Amino acid sequence: MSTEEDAAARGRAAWQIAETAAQLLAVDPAGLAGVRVCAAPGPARDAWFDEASALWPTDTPIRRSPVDAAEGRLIGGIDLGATLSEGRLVEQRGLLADADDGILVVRMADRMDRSAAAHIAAALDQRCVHVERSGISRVDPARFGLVLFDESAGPGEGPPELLLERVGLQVDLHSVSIRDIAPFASLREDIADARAILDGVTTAAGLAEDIAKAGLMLGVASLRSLGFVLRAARALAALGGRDEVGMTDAAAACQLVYGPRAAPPDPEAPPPEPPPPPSPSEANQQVADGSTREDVDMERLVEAVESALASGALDALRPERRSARSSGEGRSGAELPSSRQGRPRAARRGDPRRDGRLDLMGTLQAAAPWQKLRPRTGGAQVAIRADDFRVKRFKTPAASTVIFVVDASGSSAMHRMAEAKGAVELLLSDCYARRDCVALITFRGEGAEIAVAPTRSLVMARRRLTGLRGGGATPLAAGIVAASVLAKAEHARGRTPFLVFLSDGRGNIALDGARGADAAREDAVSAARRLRAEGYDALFFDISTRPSHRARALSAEMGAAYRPLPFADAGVVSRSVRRAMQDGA
Amino acid sequence: MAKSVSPPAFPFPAIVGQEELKTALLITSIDPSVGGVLALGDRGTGKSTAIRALAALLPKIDIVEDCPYGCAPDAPAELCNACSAPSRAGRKVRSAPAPVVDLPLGATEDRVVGSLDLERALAHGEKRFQPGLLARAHRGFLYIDEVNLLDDHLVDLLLDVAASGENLVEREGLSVRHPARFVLVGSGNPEEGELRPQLLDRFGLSVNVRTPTEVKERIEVVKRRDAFERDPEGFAKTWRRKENEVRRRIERAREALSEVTTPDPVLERIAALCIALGSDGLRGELTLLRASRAAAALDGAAEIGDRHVRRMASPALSHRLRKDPLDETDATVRVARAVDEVFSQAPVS
Repeated sequence: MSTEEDAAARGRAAWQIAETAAQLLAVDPAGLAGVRVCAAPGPARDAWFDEASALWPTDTPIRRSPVDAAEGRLIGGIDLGATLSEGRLVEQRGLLADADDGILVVRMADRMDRSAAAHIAAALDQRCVHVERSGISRVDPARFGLVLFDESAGPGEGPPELLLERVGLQVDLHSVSIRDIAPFASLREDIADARAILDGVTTAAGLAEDIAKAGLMLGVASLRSLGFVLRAARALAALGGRDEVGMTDAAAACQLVYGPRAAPPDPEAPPPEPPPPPSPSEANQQVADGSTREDVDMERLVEAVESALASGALDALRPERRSARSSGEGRSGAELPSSRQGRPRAARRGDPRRDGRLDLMGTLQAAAPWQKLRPRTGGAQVAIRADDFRVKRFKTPAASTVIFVVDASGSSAMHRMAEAKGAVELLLSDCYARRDCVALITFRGEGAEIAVAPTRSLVMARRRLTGLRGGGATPLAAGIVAASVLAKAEHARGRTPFLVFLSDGRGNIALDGARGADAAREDAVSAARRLRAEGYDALFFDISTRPSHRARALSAEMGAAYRPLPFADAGVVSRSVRRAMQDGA
Repeated sequence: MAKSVSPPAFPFPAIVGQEELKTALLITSIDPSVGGVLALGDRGTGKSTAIRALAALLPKIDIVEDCPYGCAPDAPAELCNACSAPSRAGRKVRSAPAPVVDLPLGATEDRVVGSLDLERALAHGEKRFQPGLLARAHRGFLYIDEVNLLDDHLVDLLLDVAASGENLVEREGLSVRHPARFVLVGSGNPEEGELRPQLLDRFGLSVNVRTPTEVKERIEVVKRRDAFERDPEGFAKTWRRKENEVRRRIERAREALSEVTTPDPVLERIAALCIALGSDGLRGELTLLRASRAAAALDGAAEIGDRHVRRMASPALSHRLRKDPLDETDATVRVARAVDEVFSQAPVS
């Protein structure tokens, strides 16, 4: 088969999957909650949406949320225009409530901010919107299916994890070309028929168990996912006119739901070890025996997902660094705290002269309902009192502390020290502007020491740096431990630690001070694992003359991004640290 | 003001597993002075489901009719201004559900503390206070989902009111003071952000909620959820009897609470435990004592036994341990170890 035919086949297959997803969403929008569609804006995506919306009942409300929808627009609040003109408080429903019994479409969902995502997630959870703001207190029903258009280009980007967790289906249209687009085979009537029998569709207890086991085998721990698979399987059966879920329904549902969430299938894939399935004892033993009939079915389900994974069709849907994390799910990629902190912030009452910038819209909204009561003075159109002032609060990105952990032993040539010093100095001037701190830990001889305590002061750090010396044995484990202690301390002080290791990954002094490569390595590895459990972001520069397997393995153990850097100079180090921090943020 | 009914909550007895969280919620319902519950854990484990289920369980409370704050007629020291006025004699009393108030995402300060009633002011030119969520939560529970992401200024405000039991409003020319005693219940995913230590300490009990790994349990969770979503009212109805049973257990335990005695050895054990764990301050000791007493009352026991202390040790203390950066051990494991140690020392009297 030529590559061209190959691509065409793949495109058609992707379109097929996308059609199935659209059908399932139409059959059970509340149960499956929504679909994430990965595609650049273009004909494939438009065609999918046209076809998909043709499946929904004719009067289905479709609401589009702009990616930067203000909080008030999403959940509702005060209608400024009407309030001003009518002189009484006029409430306005939000998009989420408007989309009740319908579909909510979010374009550029990959650019959505945490606040909007949190509101949508809360509505998906509670099936209603609860508003308590600006004198308004109400609960509106909001049962909608969510369509997330994800335009992210590479892995590691994508919509906020808390939304991905809550939508059942994910499809990728990147490989679909114009030729692959075909009208959906199903009609609105087919969907209506399926809906009519959906509630009566049953799943045999044994099959449900296999589906649950398969999820654990694939490293999908979330209970929501299990719920989605079972729902999707039932919807598939209903579409086929069956009143019981069959093996093919189950396999297809597993592919659709588990596929994008599964841990990497390749056991030889480099060190970032896949998260252990949460129930290894039970699930694994039975696989090892391979005896019972159900296990055969369960394996078929797992295989169905793994073959889909191996085909690469799901690559775009899978977050890149998910497996490098301790829990295997949850943390969205390389997310740094600045984007993490973000319970929606409402405009706050305050004095703009003291508290920050005036929030003009917020202030007008606060003043609007009062206009009838307030006497106008001096020809003012709108009477605003001090109580109305609302201020904008800007998210202060949590200050970071960059902690350098530098091998200052004899094995690591002396010039490394010079590079490290140079990089620290360069970053210092950079961090000074960003209000970040820099710290330097060195390890050599008997142990590790904090050469430069976290500081923002250029002068002090420079003075300390010039006095540093190198040489001696390599207590690598002690260095890692010292780094995690300092990182934790910084974290406790409300800063975000960012660790930068410069080492060749070889130690020869164990934690207890004993010499010996084996003990030293063991200690280093366990210290690295402990560090990873903390979940701090880290960079590991391999400074050995040739990129070494050992350094790579160690950096994986600590969950650090690995950079082989045999000819590092200060500029390269500081540039890549800066880039790594920006990527995360 | 638009008032609409939110969908019924998932019934408490229908929650599969999550025993620790359920116990903690029952304990704090029996004795609110235990001081609230913090549930931390993985996504999608039903933390908020369990907490929202609490409302249907709580025994009704007597309130002064027409009092916007739901004052208790039998507690003269805690009455609001209106209820403590001389004319209060002869006020009617009615029974009402104990409040469980949700602090929704994006709630603004004016709705939390209360503000001038706009409708009244506009329609009648009358200056009247419109109570906020704090007033609504008086004598009940205030639930904050994603508590670790709560805005700092709201956290400060809540801590202040929770500590004083009183809400003081000075805004829009109003000056109002009303009682606001509530139990804080919070939930969150620790991966999303660290909880401020001041807030952590305010919760009496803390539990870690994990995703169940038993296949059968997982399926049962999903099945019940499914049944509930298909027909919330019908599902709630099938569990109503069980729900009433739990409520009666709470009522019985509340009545028995003051009768439960505390043997001296138990007090010593509790103190020894807190010393062994180096938990900060007296708060831990007091909480463990109260929680153990409530646990004994829940069991129908006449006095606090070792098993009650053992059961409540982790939820009462695990969030108060000083953090040791080199110790990777889970806090609950550390508590369990200390418990074994303390209880192995002296024979039970």
